[in-house]
Amino acid sequence: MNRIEFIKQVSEILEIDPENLTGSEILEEIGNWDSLSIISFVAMVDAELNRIVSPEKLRQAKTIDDLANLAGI
Amino acid sequence: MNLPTFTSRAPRLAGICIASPANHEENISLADQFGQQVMTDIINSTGIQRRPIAKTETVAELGAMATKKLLFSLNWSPESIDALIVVTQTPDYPLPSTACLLQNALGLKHSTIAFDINLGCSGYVYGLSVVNGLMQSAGLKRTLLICGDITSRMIDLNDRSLRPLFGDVVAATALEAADGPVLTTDLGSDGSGAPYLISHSGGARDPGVPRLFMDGVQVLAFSLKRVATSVKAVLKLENMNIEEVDAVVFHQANAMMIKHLARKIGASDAQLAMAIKDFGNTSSASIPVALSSWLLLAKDSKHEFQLLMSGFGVGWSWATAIWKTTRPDVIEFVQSP
Repeated sequence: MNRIEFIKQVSEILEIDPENLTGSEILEEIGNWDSLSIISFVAMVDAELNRIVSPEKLRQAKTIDDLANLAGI
Repeated sequence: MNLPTFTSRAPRLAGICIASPANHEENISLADQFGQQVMTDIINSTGIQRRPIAKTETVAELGAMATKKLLFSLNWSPESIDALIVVTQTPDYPLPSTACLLQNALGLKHSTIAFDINLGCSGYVYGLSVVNGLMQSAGLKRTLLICGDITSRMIDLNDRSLRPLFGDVVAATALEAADGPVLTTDLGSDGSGAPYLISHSGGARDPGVPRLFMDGVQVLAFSLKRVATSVKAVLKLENMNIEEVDAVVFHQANAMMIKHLARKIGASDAQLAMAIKDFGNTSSASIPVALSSWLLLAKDSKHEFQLLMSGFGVGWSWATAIWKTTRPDVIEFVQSP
């Protein structure tokens, strides 16, 4: 999975348009970064990248770039 | 391979009876309280539309209802039962064990082996393994495994994260000694997960009312880490591929997780047992509920089954088994009036 595909998957989870996303967007300000989105993100990273994101590190993620780092993208 | 993973002779699955309260709560009815969009999202993600909710029923009451019906349908006398094990985390009383209450309520003989096991999500498979151990070592002929919880009493009605998830059900499973059936089991525990699915109150540390807390992200991360490995361990010991399994029965926590785990182990839709829509997460009863639903749809002509069951969660605790057994004589669902 490359960065573009990752951003597309994350944008689907957050229910936002993937165009013009830079990665510096703040998750809290997007509005849909709730418990269901967090669980969907963990499941997506496991399904696509065979990687289990640490819940503790995920709680510290502030931006989409932080999510990409956790996913190893 | 993680130990203990082991295989042994096993009883046959003689029958299952599922007892639930007639009272149900529709998840969409919580829209006024929690918001329409929120509840729509939760229903779509979890797959849970409604859940049986006890008004006054207890595990012993539902357990007695399920067991009496099961014994009647199987034409088994109470005197013929050698053991009754209850798996519950919501016993009628802190003491004595609910199994002792049921021994008395059902009129079982005094030589009946009866005790409780304090487990939830992993409880059915752990319970099956323990009962099988007793059956093989003591030569028992007929036993009962009673599993379930009244989880609703531990949940705050204003808790949006938990209230839409859990249903109150007790499942009675009848087991009978037989030649042929085999049980291959992988059991595990990791107590570092205790803080993430817990009631801090209601025990010796804080004797208040039990109140459930769950960190859903931690539960998911744990499940992704442990379940597929546990499934692979039993398949390897049985020298089987996933395609050879008839039913894949996961603990019914939520639909998204069940489908994800099914994909992870390579199971097909036809193999996957799903019963979460009308019951929710029913703790240790969820595997027998889903298994019963799957077996009712299985072809009449099929007599022998290879059942893969995996329960995982509170503890952390996990238990996976492949049970080679024959079609049960009885599968029933009953409701309290």
